[in-house]
Amino acid sequence: MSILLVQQSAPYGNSSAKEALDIALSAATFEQDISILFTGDACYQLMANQNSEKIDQKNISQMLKALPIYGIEEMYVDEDCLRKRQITHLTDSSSIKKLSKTDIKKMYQSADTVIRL
Amino acid sequence: MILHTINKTSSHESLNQQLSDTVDACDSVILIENGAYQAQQLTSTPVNHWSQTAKNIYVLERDALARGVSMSIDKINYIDYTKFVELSLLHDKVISWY
Amino acid sequence: MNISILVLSAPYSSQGAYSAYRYTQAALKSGIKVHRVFFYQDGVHAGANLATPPQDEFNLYTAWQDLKLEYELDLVVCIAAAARRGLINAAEAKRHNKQHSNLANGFELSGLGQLVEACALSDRLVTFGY
Repeated sequence: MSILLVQQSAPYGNSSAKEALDIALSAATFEQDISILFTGDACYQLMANQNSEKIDQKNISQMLKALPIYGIEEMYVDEDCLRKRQITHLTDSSSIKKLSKTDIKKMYQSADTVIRL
Repeated sequence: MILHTINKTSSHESLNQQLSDTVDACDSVILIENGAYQAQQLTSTPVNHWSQTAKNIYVLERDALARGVSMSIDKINYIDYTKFVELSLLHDKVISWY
Repeated sequence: MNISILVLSAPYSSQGAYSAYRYTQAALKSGIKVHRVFFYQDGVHAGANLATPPQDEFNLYTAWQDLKLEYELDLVVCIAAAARRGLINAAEAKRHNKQHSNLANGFELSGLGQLVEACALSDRLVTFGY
């Protein structure tokens, strides 16, 4: 049973980025097959140089970096969304693979369950 | 075969574009909540719009009736919640666009 | 076949919470097994004991409770999301030295593991957002 967790929200402005990560961690804890797709404004979660302590929030990019430790390695970003937002400096993102719209469509089709947050 | 639900009007361009990028020819879309308003605009959508790709377009009739949306728009299937549930099981999964 | 429902939006503020209820009700009435309704993000407010809609408005809070009584529905509110939003049951109130609790009858507090389990055991997960 595979879960595709689609993130569509920028971090910090609302709780969705954090609450989506919590789902991912929970799925990993229960050893479920989970993939994360960053699309739309969720691409901003991948930006480098986040200093969230300035607004008293936990650092999303640090949490994302830690995901492979919990066994979450299937992470993808919509390359078109990255380009449109002119995001050039990403956090250490060796685990995150860029996908085209066509590949993303295939991901939606092959997942058993899709959760968008 | 995916069942997509969308609950926003056409003014949510990014969301509608994401749906258009994802919908396949064997998928169906249900317009729910404020998404029901989109039923009135489907004759004027561009060629890659989800409404041109999707196999069937449904509207939750109660959401259409509540909003004064016409109950006789061509190519729209008006359904109740029971049919919504049925469609959920007939398709492989449900993806909610909101 | 069985279905689970994920509710992300609060009653009143968004129609999503209401749509989730009508969908769940329709599933149960047609004999479809609903494995779980999981309330997350602002959806946790469905379990607010003190919510008091005006008499001439639809009471979604009691509607969920009545549905549970009729069909033995599993209504699970995410404990972490609820705590952050000011919703706790008696046990959590005691644990955190709070004077009162406010989770409505019929709703259980539990972790995201229940959502993950719902994904694993249900044939469909249907999300109602905001």
